[in-house]
This record gives sequence, structure tokens and C-alpha cells, in this order.
Amino acid sequence: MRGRTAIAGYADAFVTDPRHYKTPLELAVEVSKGALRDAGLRTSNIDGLLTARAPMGDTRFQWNNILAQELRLAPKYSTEVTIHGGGPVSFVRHAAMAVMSGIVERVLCVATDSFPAPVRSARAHNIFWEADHWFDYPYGAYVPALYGLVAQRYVYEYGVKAEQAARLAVEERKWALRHPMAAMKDKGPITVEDVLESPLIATPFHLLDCAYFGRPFGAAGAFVVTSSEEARKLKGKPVYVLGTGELSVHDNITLRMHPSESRPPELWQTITTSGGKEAAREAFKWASLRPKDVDIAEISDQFTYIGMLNLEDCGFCGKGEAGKFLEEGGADYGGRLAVNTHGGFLSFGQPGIAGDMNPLMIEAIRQLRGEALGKQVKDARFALVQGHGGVMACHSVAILGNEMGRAV
Amino acid sequence: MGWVLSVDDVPEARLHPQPSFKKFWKALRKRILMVRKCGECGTLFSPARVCCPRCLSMDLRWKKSKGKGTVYSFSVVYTAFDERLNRVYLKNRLPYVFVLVELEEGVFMASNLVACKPSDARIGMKVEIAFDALKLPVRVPRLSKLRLPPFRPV
Repeated sequence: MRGRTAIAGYADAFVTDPRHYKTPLELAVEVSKGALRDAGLRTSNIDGLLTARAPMGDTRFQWNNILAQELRLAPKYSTEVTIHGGGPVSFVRHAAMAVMSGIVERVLCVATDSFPAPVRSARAHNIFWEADHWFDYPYGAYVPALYGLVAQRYVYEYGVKAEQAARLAVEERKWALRHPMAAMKDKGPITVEDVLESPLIATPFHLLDCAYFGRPFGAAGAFVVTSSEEARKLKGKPVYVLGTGELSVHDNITLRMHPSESRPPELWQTITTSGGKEAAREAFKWASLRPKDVDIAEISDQFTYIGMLNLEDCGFCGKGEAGKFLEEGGADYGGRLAVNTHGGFLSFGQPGIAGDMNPLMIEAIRQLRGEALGKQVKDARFALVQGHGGVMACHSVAILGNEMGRAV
Repeated sequence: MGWVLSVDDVPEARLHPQPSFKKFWKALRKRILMVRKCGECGTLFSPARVCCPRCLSMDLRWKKSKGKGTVYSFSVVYTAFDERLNRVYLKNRLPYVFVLVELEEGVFMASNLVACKPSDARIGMKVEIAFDALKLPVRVPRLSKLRLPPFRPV
């Protein structure tokens, strides 16, 4: 798999002012055209189409086909990629498999979402979707409480301190202050005290431990995956797909802890493990790289403690050691490893279904091509993108590089 | 044409009656909590599943639970996302404690914790089901018509 396919062109679009609302479909067309333009391709060159889960702003079925119709595409490989919200990171896995199989040559991958102003029950509805409607929902199982179960147990099992979690929010805010699309770009820096003194949402999360869900008001991203040979001939600078990994372990966190003979015990005997570790292991194996070779890590952090679990699973530190890793500056702004160069979901925002696309995948592509919207990481060669969907349910990792080089 | 079907437009899930659950609700009215038991391998599991998580059998029976367990994890909810959620869905019943209880039978279930200060919630706390709480104006969210009992410390 290593380096046989590449991202040959990309585009992104944002709605930062709710008065200038655009529908998810309008944004998707805009970025699809932009990605094709960037790659020097036409719609008639595209034979594969992947879209993420249907946007929260437009939850129609077979959303991939709705976009195909609008773009007047006739794909021979077309599907939604729906590992909850983690689809956009899995795009490259599906697209690489399709291109390597010889069935298609150029796969357009698109994710989009936008919330009509004012944002009202959109958030209310979404935040109850992760719960079982009969046995969880009646008890008030909304997303912060469900993730709270995981984080509270993480604190109990590993002695994680609130100050350690807050450090992640503090460092990520520094990147957001320099990113033109970040929700918190004008809100100034924060300290650990600011985080701990912000109002409690659902324990152990304070307000500043939580992602800003529903911002930007709209976001969409698209990229085209082709063979590396072709990508080198096309207009845009290729970003190589070096490795991918994925593992889905449950759908509903409250149903996770039940015996299963088909899964290893660590994947159901506790709620502080997930498919993230195996997804990262697989991606690093294909890429023939190690965590210390990675210059940039774009990881999903719906909450600070969750970002810590994800950093551990990616192998940047050991299990239960993210607190110490953060205290020693492992994710510091300007440090060796650039973590969440957009400011994380915490300070950039999590724009619905486009959450794993614009802040994670597109940000990584931009950084590797030297086209960052915010602070540019210098001399970056390899980026790891880790997205997940559900409450620690489905994890996906992609390792991208702007060269085919080996590990140092 | 630029029309959308936003999550604002999606209706709430309809809790259509499930015949196989008649026994569950009848037992609950008689103050008995039941869990699922696999007719083939005897594994006990949550009523939310449609088949046995160990052997995938669809021969599902019911087994009475003692209604006792420990708090495996919890989260005390202090703030809803926005005012409308708070008013319409939660009816201002804040803070409330959302818990994941490990029953003595080894089955996990979500619930609320009542009859104690939310800040007293602890992992490992011994709890028992609080059928009486169904009649009291306790701080539980009541997001659907289902009347599922919470737990209280033993």
C-alpha cells in the first residue's frame, strides 16, 4: 500500500458568518470543483465518489448519489463512508483500495456540513443520537455525559489530573489564535486556571475541556485520490497515502461491556480502550514509520481527556501516560510534534460531519503542501491523521507524506 | 434546488411497542428488574440487544435481577448545551447524575443516580434500584415516555 496512491488535488470552503449561509450541497459542489481544478482534472475523469455520513444539515439518504447528480458524475464506485463521523479519514483507505484494485482510477472524496442559523435543536438532536433510545436516552445520555463515562473511568484507572488535561486545551488554543477559520481565533490565549475555572458541563469536563461543536457554521472539503504515478503528472503537488488503519469496536458505549468470543478482552472489558491503538498500529506498519517519524498529528479531541486517550493510542506515549507527556511539553505549540495545527476541535471547532475533514484531513494536506491557512509547520514530511466517530466507537488513522522517503 | 432535511427536521424516534417486552414492563410494574438470558449458552446481557453477545443466539429469555450493583462510571451533568435543550428536553432538572451500573449479574446498564448529592457519586459505589423514585419529583431528565427507574446508593 505504501505510497501507491496519492492525493492529487484538494479544496476547502467555510461559512464563518451565519448570515451568509450555504447549504451542505452548495458547499460540496464548491469544493468538488475546487479539488478538480487543483488537480487539473474534469468531472469526466472521475470514476469513483466517496462522501461522508449524510450531513447533519441535510440528512437525506444516499447523499453520495445526490452529489453525483449535482456534479453530473456517473461513478462506477460510489458510497457513503460512515464510521460515525470518522468517515473522512477512512476516505483514503477506501480510495486507495479501489485504485489499487484497478477498478477505478480517480476517486473524488467529499465531506460537508452546515447549520442554518440560528443553531437550535440541531445540537440537541445530534447530541442524543449516540444513545440507545430505549435504555439510555430516558436517563439524559447526551454526548458530554457519554464521553464523561469514558473520561471519568480514565481518571480512575490512570490517575489523570485535570491540570494535565487542561494543558492540551492551553497549547491547542495557541494554534487557533493563528488560524483564520478557528472559532476561538479572537478569544485570546488561555491558562490551565482558565480551563479549571470555566463552568462544569458534565464531569470531568469543564467548558474549555469541550470541543466547540457546530463551528465553523459550515465547512466542506474535497480531495482526489489517484495512483502516485498519475498524481505526479497532474497539477497539484502529490500528498502520498503511506498507510491507513481502522478498527470499529462498538456502536453504543453502554452496550460495549458484554462478553464476546470474537474480540480480544481488552476491547470489551474496559471503556478506556478503543480501536485507536490497532488502527494506528496498522497504519504505521503499512507506512514503515514510527511515531517519532511523524512531524504533525491531527487527532480528534471532542474533549481534552479524549484527545489524551487518542494521543496514547497513536503511540506518541504509553497507555495512561498522556498526562506526563503533556506536562513535559509533548504537545506544546512549537514543539517537535505539532499537535492539531488548527487548534483542535477544542479551539477550532467541530463542524458537524465535516469535523474529521476540514480540521483533520484537509489541514494535514495543507500543511504537507506548504499551504497552511494558519501557522505553517516548517519542513514537515509526514503527518498522522486520527479521526473517530461515535463515543470511541470507530477509529481511523491515515499517515500521509509529501515524499516517499523512509524513516530517519 | 437547494432544500435540506436538517437534523432539526428529523422527528424523534417513535418508541413502537415491542411484544417481546411485555414481560419486562410487567415485571418492572411489580418492582422487578429483568435482564436478558441466552437460551443457548446462558449468558446474561442487556435487554437492549437483539441477540446474545457471546454466541449470537436469538433464543432470548428473561431472568430476574436482584437490582443491585456498583457504579462502573458516571458523569454529573451540570449544564446543557443551550437554553432550549435545558428548558424543553431537560425541564431544568440539573444537575443530574448519569451512571453506568455493573449489576451483580455482570450486566451493564445506563441509569441515573438519585438520593445523594451529585458530588458524592463515586466509581465503585454500591447501588440498588430505586423503584420508589419513579413516583417522586427527583432530578432525572425524563426525556421520553419510558418510565425506567434510577438507582440510589445502598
